[in-house]
Amino acid sequence: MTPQALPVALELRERFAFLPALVEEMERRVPYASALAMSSDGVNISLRDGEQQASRRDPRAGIVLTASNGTFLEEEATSETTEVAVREAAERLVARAAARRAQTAAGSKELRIEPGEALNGDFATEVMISPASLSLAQKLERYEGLRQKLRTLDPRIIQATGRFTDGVDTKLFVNRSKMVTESVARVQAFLTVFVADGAQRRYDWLSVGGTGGLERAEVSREQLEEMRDTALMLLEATPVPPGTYDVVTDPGVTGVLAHEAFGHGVETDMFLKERARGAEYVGKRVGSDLVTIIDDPTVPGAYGSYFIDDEGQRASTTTIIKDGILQRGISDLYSATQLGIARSANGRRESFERKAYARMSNTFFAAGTSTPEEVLGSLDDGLYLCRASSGMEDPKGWGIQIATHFAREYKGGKPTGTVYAPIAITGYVPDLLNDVTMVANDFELHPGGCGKGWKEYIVVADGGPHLRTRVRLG
Amino acid sequence: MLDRIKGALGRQAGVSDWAVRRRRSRSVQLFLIGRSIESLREVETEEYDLQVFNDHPFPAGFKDHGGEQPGGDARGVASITLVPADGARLGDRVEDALTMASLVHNPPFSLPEPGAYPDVELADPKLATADGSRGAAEAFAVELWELVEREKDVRLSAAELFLTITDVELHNSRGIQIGSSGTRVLSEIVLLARGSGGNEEAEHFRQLEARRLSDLKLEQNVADAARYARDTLRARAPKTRLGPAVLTGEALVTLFEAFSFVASARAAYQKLTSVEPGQAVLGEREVKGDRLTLRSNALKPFALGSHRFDGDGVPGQNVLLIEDGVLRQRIAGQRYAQYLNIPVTGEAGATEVAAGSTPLPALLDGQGVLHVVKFSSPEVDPVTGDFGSEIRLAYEGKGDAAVPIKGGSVSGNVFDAFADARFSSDTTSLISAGFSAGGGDYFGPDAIRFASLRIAGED
Repeated sequence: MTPQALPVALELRERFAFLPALVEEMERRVPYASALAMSSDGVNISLRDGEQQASRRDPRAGIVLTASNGTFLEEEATSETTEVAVREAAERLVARAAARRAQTAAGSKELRIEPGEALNGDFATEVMISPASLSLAQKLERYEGLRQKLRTLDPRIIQATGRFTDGVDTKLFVNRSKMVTESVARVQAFLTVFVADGAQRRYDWLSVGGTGGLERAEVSREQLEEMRDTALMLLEATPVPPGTYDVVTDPGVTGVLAHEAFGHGVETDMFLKERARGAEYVGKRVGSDLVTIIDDPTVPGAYGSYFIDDEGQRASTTTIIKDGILQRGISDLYSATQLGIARSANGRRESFERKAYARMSNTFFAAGTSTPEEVLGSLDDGLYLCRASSGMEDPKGWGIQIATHFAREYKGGKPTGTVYAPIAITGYVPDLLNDVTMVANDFELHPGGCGKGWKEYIVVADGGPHLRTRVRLG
Repeated sequence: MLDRIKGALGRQAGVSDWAVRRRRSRSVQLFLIGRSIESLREVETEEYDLQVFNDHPFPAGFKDHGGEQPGGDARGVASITLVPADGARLGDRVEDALTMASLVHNPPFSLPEPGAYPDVELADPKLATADGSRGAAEAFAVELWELVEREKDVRLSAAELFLTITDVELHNSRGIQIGSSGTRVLSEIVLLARGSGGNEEAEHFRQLEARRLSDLKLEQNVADAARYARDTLRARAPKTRLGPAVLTGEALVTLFEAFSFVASARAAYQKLTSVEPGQAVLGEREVKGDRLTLRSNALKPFALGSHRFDGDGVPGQNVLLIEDGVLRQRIAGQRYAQYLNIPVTGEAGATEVAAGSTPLPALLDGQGVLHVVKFSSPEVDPVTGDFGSEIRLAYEGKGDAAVPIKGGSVSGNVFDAFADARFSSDTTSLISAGFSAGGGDYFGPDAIRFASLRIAGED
């Protein structure tokens, strides 16, 4: 246990000391049981011209009890976390699961959930500059000062907004072989600048953050000036002529490419649902030799990092694609059990109110050997795609959609000054990955959010180096 | 706990105003993979959204959104959500909120007083009890399996169903004490079609939302999803071009987010839209086709965006926002209505758009018309009006001769596109997961033909 884990761990272990015995009692009537208590705390600050708002982060505090009825998983979740209330919820759950188990026809395939390796530990993020070291008044002064710096950079700026979040997500997981707690501190700063030229409005944004303390959300004057310059530049941007282009992606766009192409596409619940073509390609080539994609919740300081997933699995690195060959998927407990594959630590929930699915953590392309300058300098006639704003997966059809804020035209390895915006990238994932011909040796991870379909939002990070490929743009 | 929170607020000196909203929800959640149940969940939650206001002098140097030093007192507001575990330290939580409120500064605005609250039907009586929801979930699974069984060359990949009932009670320091009960049904359905050779497969995904189970229109949606999945199997990429495109249903409705934004008092106060009431929402553009008429209706029975009262306690209303392409009124919550000195409408309700006069088949007339029925992720930038998305399924041609299209993208600018657009006389009602305005409800033309959009595909 790290010193930083101690207070939270002790509080969780004391408050939920009854859970190991409760899980044991539940397992007298069902073949598998577990309990997960979750909560969040912290502060959100929102600032814009003439308006300020401070709020407590949604505590999302509650407990979810899981039981196997021998055929599938049943759960009972409640925001009432007293021992009496949790025991009542457990009784309702076990009664339901046991009754269903009794009705299951003899000879039905048994769902055999393994509790995993024994683990009894407490984990916490290392924090260098604790958000608690600043009072709310000091935070407001610091952030409003930052926003004002941005707001006053140019007379064409009509609005600058800032959202700042710091807080801690805590978790306690119990099953018959584990009792483990974690306390993950996260910070994020999100700034947007809006400029106007008559009726036309354009904007740019900056998002920084990670797990840890305020040191993960530092913003420099150079970053503010770059936002201003980009927003003003976009006043002159024109739509990109539709077509297929040689492109270089910035690390943010590279990250969304990894996330959408072989992040969602290898979530093993999608294998079980036969929704992912990747299931048929494990061990086969899906990209050029330069393509290595990793999901890793253990990256220090990354926004999507954690110590245990929401089903008690200890975090570890998963190499999804190595040198162009698909290695394996990322799993939740149920799909790994049904598929008979080794678990990875990717069973994650939006909150205690929601089911665990196979989800990403920090997903990225591994760095290569070329310098970013060499990669950009290789663009004889192409576009440099910058600032990913969203993406959508299609694991069955291996289609992909990524929106980027803008693209710079390059000819002869140099920018021409022409800028296009916005940009919609589409394509066939294997073509796109097979066309990766250069990978730079730089590396960035960007904080973000991820939904499964249109819901189940969780925090993640994605990124990688600059890379060169060929895509269809519109 | 509500009375204890109100008691703690009453005891705390310095609280200028307060509002507390209790939300109690019960949900039954069913997850299917193929013909098996993957998981069955039941969830009960209780939360209290508390807003604490503190009036205090503006600090020296504070500027309002117009860059002026405001007169009078500043209004500080802090929001916190309390859960049952906070019950033992309510006093501390309220004190923390007051401290937060005392440190932030906003131009003053008042809370709503009690008003006349409309009766709006928001709840499916079948989901009123836990047993009712459990039974409904089981019946849904059986019906879905049967419906999919009827479809040729198609099977169920996965499905989800969330049946939630939420009771909301709002109290504030100005005397409001009101409540409402609503249900929400959310379903995801994924169908897989297999080609005649047995090797190729394609999926079609639908996320459906409604207040009543019957409004999921399960039979129609399964039939459509099955047809679209089968058509996706034989779809090809479009040719790159600039040309006419008809957007239908889900592929269409997201575009209206740009107009909801133009009509938003909040966006106007923040200077993110420059269109004023009485002005054309398309600016100086010459309008060649149908002109947009759009309402925000919070009173439509069983619409997801409908409400008796909004988050501040403003009664739900049916508001004409845009008429024949001209902005008539802004959608304005309590705070921004006062900042802009305009009538309070409360939060947005369902989006209603007036139909056009052209039947859908006529919109598809002509060579090279792309008819998009499904985008991967339709997205609109409300500030710029730019939009674009990958084509998940479209058609070229009409009727039996229609050729399925998949891949590539359609993009453009909403304001430019609506300057030359024809609306269908056929109307639809749907709730789209990708449509964030007014709860996602849309009632209006089933399709709109845009004269010229950018289509990226094969060169």
